[in-house]
Amino acid sequence: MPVMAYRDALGLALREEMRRDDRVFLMGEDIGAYQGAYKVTKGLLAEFGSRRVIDTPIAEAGFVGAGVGAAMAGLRPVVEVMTFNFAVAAMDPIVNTAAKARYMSGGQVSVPLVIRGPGGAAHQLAAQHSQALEAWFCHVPGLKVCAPSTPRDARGLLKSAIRDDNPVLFVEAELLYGTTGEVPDAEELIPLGVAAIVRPGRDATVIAYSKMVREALAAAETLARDGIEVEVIDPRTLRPFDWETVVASVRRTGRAVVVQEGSPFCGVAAEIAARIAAEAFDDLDAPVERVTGFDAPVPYARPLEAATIPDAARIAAAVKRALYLA
Amino acid sequence: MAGRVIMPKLSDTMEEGVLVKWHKHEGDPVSSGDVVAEVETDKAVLELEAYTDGVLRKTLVEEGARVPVGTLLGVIAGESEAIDALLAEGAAVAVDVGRGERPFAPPQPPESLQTSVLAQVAHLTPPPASGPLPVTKASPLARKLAEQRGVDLRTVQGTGPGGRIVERDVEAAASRRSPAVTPTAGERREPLSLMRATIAKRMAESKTTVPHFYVTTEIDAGPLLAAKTGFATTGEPAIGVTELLVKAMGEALVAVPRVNASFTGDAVVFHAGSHVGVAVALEDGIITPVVRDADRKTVGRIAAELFDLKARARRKALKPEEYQGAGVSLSNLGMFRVDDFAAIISPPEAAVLAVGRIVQTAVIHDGRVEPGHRMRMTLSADHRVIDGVIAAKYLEEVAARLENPWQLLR
Repeated sequence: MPVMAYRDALGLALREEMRRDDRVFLMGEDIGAYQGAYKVTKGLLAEFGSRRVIDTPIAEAGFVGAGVGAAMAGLRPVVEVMTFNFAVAAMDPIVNTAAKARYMSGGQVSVPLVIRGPGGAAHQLAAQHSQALEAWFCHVPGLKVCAPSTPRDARGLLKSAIRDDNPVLFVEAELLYGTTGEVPDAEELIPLGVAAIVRPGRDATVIAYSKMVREALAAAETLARDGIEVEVIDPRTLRPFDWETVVASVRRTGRAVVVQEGSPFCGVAAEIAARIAAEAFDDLDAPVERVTGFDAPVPYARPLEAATIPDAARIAAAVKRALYLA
Repeated sequence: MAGRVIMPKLSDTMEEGVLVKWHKHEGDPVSSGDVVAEVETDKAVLELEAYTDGVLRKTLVEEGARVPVGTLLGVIAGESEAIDALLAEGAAVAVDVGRGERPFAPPQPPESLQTSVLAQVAHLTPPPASGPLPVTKASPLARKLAEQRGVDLRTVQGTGPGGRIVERDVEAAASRRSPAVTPTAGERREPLSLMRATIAKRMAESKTTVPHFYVTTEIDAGPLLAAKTGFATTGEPAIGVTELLVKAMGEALVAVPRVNASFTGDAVVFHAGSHVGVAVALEDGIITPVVRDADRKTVGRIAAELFDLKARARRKALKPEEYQGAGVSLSNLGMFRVDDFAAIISPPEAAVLAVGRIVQTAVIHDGRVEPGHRMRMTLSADHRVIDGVIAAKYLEEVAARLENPWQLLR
């Protein structure tokens, strides 16, 4: 199986879908001539031309709104936001229009739109550009939210998202773009709403998504040296969520640690923890642990920034607490 | 709004209860919170409180009657409200609280009742001044496992935060016990009574967490025997070795106040008054009624009190304040063929005195071997509170008094 970078796997998915379906087109800032701020759209302008790879002004509310309208009109737009921090400027077309159109039109209008880009912190981008805002979108009925952690999942999920008739927020991560992994030659669609058990284990279940999966796997590796076998689950899609896989795992292990990069209050981890407590109650040996960012803006200073973002050490400590070993 | 008064289910072992007393009678107005009746379970006395306002329209069970859990005892309703339907429903009310997997769960009041626990079996546990029975804290998984493996959580010591029983504690309990789990032919399995479970838990806790040490002495029991024989003819209630021991132990607490204390984690609490507990054997267990201010009471008064306390202990009619608050306790097996033994301390007390039988033996007196009587006593002491010298002094104070028993009669 070929090994490729996360950004190239995304580019592959876009190319495959654009070749398959000429209704698929791209819009975003610097995605054409500059080939994308993170080079995800590299080579696509040359292959598909400026009618299907459209550079936009710096005006998120405008081009996201244009994407919503194009989707309503029958096209399948993939809109890139340079980071999800900027999608905040487009909350009205996303939340009030894209998420509601199908429901309020009684199914007459659907919005097959993908909005994709990186979420979360990278290195010293400061408070306004380091936010993990996926919980905002997960909160809205009518939206789907993906957050893949590997090149293979990124490609397979993006293809499914493009073919989905609902608006899908596709959250990538700047620090994942350069990571590599195996991606099959053959076309592969990974369905939305199906989690992956990325490491099996019997002692505790760690649920992590996007780049936190890498930290969870590192924690599992460390804990394995102490004989603690952690099961790591990557939900891959946050909405719809694969409760079945997560709850079944916690029923086996009796302990759950939920990891998210963003701030804790009303976060994705809070929802997962609540659902586990309700559905796996009789099998829990300890309260569900959460490992999250701090309830504060992300600092610019490097040591402070590093301290706020969950890492393998914090995840391992939480697993030990859940096992009454700390 | 009419409400039922129902025999509550306090524990998973409770199947019936005795209606001891009606505090309200037919026609009496009742306000929410009023005590309507008193109910005795296998080990406890409960007050039944109303939580609806109205009139006690009907009482269906007489005082002293023993009825199954869930039985309709009476009906509270408005003065002219129809209650025929309620009466017809009778005891068809499912009362299912304190199920097997939730031992010690606070009793859930059935419908119109709130129960407040007056007394309980946990005489070894200092219970809260009021409120429900203590809840065994256990993780949900531990509860499920305990049910599957047949482990009684009341006998398990939790190692989680705040003493929470977690999976590993149940696994450990199950594996400790597992060799005998499979009942072989001829074996009989007897579920733990509340009292047995409490003893099991509290004694295991004491022996494993309280650092015990032991000091033993042998006293000249000749004078004690003479005193006992002398009293035997002076009527009821009889004064015996136990009564003299209680008096001696009470006085010795005054002489060595360090023994009259409890370890509380960050302090040693010295008790007011010299209160002496006396272990009384029951059919399934033991209870330790307390003689208060034993140093200031005559031996005759102590004998009268003990006579009453023991009788009521056997009927399980002691109030909590009558079996709590001792500074030191006595466990006397002198009526059996026991020469000497060491007892387990019952926290929060810091010491317990174990007394064996009086034996006739050869003793050396003025350099000559003579026939004499001897009795051995062992004090178990909590080293967190009491050091060796203190224990020795206390034992000496008790021994000196018993060797001059007539002085105890002042």
